[in-house]
Amino acid sequence: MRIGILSFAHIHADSYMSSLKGLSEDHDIFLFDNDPARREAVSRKYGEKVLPDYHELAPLRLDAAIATGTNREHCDMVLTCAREGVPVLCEKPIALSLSEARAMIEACEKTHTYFQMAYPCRFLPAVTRVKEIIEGGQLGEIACLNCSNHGFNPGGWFADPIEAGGGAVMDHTVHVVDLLRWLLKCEITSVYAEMDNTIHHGEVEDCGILSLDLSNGAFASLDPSWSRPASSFPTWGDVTMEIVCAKGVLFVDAFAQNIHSFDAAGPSSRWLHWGANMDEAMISDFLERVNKGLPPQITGEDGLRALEVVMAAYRSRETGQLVSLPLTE
Amino acid sequence: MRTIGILGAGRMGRVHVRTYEGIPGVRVAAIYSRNLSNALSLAEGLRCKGTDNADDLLDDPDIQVLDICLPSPLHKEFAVRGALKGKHIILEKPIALEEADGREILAACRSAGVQLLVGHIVRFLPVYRRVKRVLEEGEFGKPAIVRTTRVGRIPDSQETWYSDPRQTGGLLVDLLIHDFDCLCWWFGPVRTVFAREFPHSAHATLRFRNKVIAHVQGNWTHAASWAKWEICGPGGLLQYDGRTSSVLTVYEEGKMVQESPVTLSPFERELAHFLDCVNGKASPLVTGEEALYALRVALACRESSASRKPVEL
Repeated sequence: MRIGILSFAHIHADSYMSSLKGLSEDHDIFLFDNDPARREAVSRKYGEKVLPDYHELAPLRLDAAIATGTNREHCDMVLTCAREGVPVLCEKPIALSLSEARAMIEACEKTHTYFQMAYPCRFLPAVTRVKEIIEGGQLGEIACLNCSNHGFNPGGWFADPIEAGGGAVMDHTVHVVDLLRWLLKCEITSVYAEMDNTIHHGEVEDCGILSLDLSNGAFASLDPSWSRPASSFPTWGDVTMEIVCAKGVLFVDAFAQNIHSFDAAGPSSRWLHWGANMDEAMISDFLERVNKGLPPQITGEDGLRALEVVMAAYRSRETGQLVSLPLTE
Repeated sequence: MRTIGILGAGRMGRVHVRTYEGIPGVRVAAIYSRNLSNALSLAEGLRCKGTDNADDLLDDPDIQVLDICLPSPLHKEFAVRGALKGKHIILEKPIALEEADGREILAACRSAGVQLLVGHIVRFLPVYRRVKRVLEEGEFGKPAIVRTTRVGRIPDSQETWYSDPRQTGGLLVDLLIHDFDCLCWWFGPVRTVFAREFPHSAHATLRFRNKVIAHVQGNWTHAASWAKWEICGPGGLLQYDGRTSSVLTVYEEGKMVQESPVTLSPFERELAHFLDCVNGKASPLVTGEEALYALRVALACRESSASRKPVEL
């Protein structure tokens, strides 16, 4: 297949690149980046030509594209793919606003373009096992969930309100919200949020707690904070969920499969992850579906719903109140 | 020599009685329980009096300290009656189930001029004292976000009052009050709470006046009791997990018991500290006002859960 990676702005682009290289089939990969400095670095790293403008993808006759720009760029990248009819995998969050997200969904529908969101956590074996247990019903009804998606402050455009549209809440809410919706087959019905910028004191929020009511009567709280010190924490962060059910408790620590490594040279320890590579699983699912003409498992609608929770959290910050979904604009 | 009367021969009463045995300068003189045989069996080993008549203790002029380990709904009645008789009061947490009752206890102790200590035992745990010191030393800086988890088994059905949420106040008032007390000790007064309480679990988001955000969560669904927390700020991240701090694991007949022994048990620290207060050598590490404030936070969480709204304190 002929596959384009439309930008290396997002740190996940490198992981998707190595996932593509790791697949058993050989693909023609075309790299783009609109930032000259990054273009040069990416070119040096992979020894490949990096094209400057993803708008000019028509002559390349791509079979699939991966939209890994800044959050602000997602909308334009997906609209470009829709115009050219190129199946697209869009990095999360879907966009900066609900109206952008709707325009992306509509454009892809109109041109019958395959549009998938990149929510790799659905491909974690621990998570698929949880889905099995929940659907098996042996633990009974779910009462409440205590969830986290911690990370370090990625800095750069991630902490720039114009390119990212927010901070930790924008960056780290959607993964767990998508898992809640997918695992529990429910929607989020209301959101209360406390958040602040009191860890890094930047322009965007870096810590917070979201309280979420779910349409199945359950409740979830979510900590999306950038509360892991980049310089000393042994890994990038976590995805955890404690799921309290009528007849038992599930505790998921999705990235706990690590070897603890203490370098003689270094001041801190590192965790060497030996668990499943979720990005590889997601990329190969994406390509398989595109190849076979199947619909995406994770749709633009899934992107929109998760973004709506982020927007509701920001509204709750402004009003100090519980915010009901769907949002009225 | 200080003479103690114990009210209540349940789980906490037994722990306190055992603890006094190791503290010099005190003697347990009598044990009251509504169930006479419980009082007698606990008193037997100590060669002290067991009774089901509380007046035997309240009217005994030799008893200077009343240690109240009764079910929470009885706290106010016995604390107030004891204070009126001029006895120093040590009271299991929560101070009471209602704020007004707590206030009455405070007022009674104040006007009788007796000492009061509410048994917020977590304050006497070495790890909590250690982190308090880290926060006070200032190098860590001002915390931004805190998470706490506290879990246990569904309350024992043999002690009937303890399995009845109307008598314990439920998870927020009985269990998570430990964390509310501790967080207020660390970070000061609370501005807003938002909470959800379920029969055996609860979540609360606390926003402190000093801007700290805290997520307090707990449940009674686990096979063992443990707590963990983390504190994050510009200075870094502090993490504690009670499950990984045990220095001793005992495997016996297919069961595993983890222990984390310390030089002085928290109960020894707590009760010895109260005797220092009674002897005029210290003032209570947990004031009555603080115990009452922790209850206020717990009750505000319950109100938020019922109204589905944030509650300002």
